[in-house]
Amino acid sequence: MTETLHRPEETWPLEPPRGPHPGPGGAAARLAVALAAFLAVHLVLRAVASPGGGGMVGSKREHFALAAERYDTVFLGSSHVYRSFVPAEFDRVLAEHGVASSSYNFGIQLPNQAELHYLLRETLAAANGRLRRVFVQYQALTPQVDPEQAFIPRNVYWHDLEDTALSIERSWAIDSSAPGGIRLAPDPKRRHAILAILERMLPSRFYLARQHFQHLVKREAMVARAKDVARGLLGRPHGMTGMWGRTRGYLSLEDAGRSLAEEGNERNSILRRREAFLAGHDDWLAHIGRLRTEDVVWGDQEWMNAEVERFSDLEFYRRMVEDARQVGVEIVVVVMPSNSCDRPFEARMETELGVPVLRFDRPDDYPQFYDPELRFDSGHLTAAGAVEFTRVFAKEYLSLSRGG
Amino acid sequence: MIFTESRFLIFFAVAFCVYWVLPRNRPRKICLLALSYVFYASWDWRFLWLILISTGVDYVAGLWLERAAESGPRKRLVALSLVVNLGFLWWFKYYNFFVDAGVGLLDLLGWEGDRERLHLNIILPVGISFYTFQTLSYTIDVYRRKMRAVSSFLDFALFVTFFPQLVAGPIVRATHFIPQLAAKKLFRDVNVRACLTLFFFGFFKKAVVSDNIAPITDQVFADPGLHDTLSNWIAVLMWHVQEYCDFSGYSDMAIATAGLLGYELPLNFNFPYFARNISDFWRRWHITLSTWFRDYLYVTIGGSKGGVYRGIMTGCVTMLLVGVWHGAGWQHAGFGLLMCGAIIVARLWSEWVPKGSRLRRTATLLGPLLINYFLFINWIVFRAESWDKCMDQFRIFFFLGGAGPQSVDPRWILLFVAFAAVQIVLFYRLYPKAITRLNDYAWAAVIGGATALVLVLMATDYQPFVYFHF
Repeated sequence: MTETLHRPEETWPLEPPRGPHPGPGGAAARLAVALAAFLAVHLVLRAVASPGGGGMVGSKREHFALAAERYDTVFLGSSHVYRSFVPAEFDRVLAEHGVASSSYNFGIQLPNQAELHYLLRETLAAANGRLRRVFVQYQALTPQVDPEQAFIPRNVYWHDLEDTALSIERSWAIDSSAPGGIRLAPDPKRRHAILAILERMLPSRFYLARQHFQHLVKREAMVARAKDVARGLLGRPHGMTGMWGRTRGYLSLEDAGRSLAEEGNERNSILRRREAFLAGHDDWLAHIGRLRTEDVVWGDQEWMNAEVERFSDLEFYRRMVEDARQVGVEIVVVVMPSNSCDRPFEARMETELGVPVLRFDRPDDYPQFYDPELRFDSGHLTAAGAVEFTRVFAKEYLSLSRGG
Repeated sequence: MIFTESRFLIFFAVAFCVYWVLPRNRPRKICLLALSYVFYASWDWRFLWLILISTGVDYVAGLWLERAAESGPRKRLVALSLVVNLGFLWWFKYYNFFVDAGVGLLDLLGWEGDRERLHLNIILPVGISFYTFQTLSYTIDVYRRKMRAVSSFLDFALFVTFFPQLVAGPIVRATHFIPQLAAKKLFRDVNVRACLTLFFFGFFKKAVVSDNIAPITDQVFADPGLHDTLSNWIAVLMWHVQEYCDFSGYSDMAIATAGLLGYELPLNFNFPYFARNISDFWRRWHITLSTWFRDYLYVTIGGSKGGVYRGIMTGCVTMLLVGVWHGAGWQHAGFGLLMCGAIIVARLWSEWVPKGSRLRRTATLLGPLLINYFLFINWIVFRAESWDKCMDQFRIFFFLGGAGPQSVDPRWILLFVAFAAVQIVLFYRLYPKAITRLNDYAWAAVIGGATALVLVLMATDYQPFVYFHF
């Protein structure tokens, strides 16, 4: 076959069929053999692959999978969590008050709520009963539906059957309940493509459901996981896995910026964010002023995926609370000192889910976290700010757990 | 809809089932035509009219050519077809380029031209260069009485729009394809195993090799001056691999999908990097384009008749137009010019260096190496995003300084070595013959296992085919 396909000066058709086509039974048998071989190879690859999700997420997952027994406390959330909780400081404050703790910062950049649910489930499973408490951030982030980013590992890895089903179900519910549905920006490259036009005629929940389903298929087929398989085969962890063992998942923005600068990227995006923040500080303060007077304020627009209107969906939190409580893990929702708020939703989490909510989004109560001394940029704290925040947070938590 | 996308695989699975379930040839052809229009509209429905006009004009021109006996009307009809088809091509592909060139010339003469006002905000309809050449070949063949005009509009429309080769070839001749439309198709004549194997090879070349390389070449060619000499060398080597795997991968998949529907498309690639000289290269690279130019241009303007210098002139004109066919830009004209240079050297060499001489034997031996090195240089021009960047890259490529820091992992060279090794094994058939004699079950197991591996090795996202831009 190969010979005929590549024989120089040979023209198509390659070769005549050698005999009659197999009957339906024969074709089914050949298909079964192909499927069996596919499955055999697939299962081997799956067994050796290291955790997916891309660099930082993969490495944090890998570290936790390897060292889950070391931790009894996990902080789960976005980069706000990642840059704000210093596990060593949290454990120190709790120890001072006679409470044992060994914590891990599982903050990752730009998660959406379904992704957090997946990570919580994975964390609970890996900890195997050792976990005592988990702090989950409340932050309204959107599903990732940017066509340019649709199939990056980060958007695919968490689409197991349960979270794909949940995502589809919630896309359906949210689209139906939101006035005018979820608004999808058309992909400019496919504005005149007939299939895209037909798709736009349907409610956007169909689009979202299709995309979540594609993610599930890609995840289960291990599409584009070559690096993870190679790492697994060679026994090489993700680049940052070792570092998380030392820092327990925390890295300050200053350290990250310095590290990039040492690699030759002196004008890196982290340091530029700081400069931009200081330059536009007055505007930012004006925006923060709205947190004092308004119940709902959206900030951090530059992070947001403009494809879909942002939303807060209680269902994701309900599932998280149920999953944690089912295995006897204490769950607390944290609202970080961010520049946005949705106070009615925060209240609903307390009243409808019965979950304690620790709120730090009130500049009057915590003015220090809105001061450039402790604030690195519009959304994150400095290294000193992270230590201070962790200290304040730990005390608030202790007060809460003692019924204060 | 790209051949490596799940959407296409679903589209084709549906097309394949519906096509073979239909009982007779005519409904099958109607089904194929409808699917081909849907396939084209999946890029941009607005350009369907362009295909329809092109189809209509050449269909009618063919019928009238058949009826016209006198030379005058026949010439006018073929001229009409040329004007309409090449007019569309010029308008959509070359208009803005000519505006830029004209305004540039005016600037040189001291007049200021308003480039922005004259520019048209148009996009290139996908596949226009391919189907235009396809329909032109039909009209010219009917004019030359190499074939009879097609009386069935359905057959002609399907010849123009047959979806496996619609957007990036192979450029099919009417003399090759139209007779196939008349023949009744039987599923038992389809070599399913060979077609699936060929599709698999094409898929691997595109989705695994080409798409994984694309980010590296994109990064370096976007601004060669930001990268060091080694990175630029690696990018050029990678482009050598990417260009071949991308386009030949597409051709393999096109031939295979057509084959599964019972149609035969011509071979488009035949180990081009083993070519011994420039003529041999064009007999192996994008074969359907080079033979098109050979038959409809080179031979028409005299070919090699009339001596060496006349042959050089016709060869150069042809090569220049082959270059410009690839795109409206100085880099494509530059690509053509470099090819002209190669033609001149090759012709003079064969004229001046005696056959059987040691020098000639040595050059024949070194031919593939020289051709590949020549192609590296040519790709710099071909792939360049602007003239300045092209010059930057030449400077860095030839160690003349001005380079930035190293940005590409040197281990990518291993991919080039692997590519060369696989090509050598296939070309010289250094594989065990048992591979070619696998029974169906062993073949199914190999394809099944390899599919699992290919899914893992695929790039994260689909990249459009390089030749969609042409």
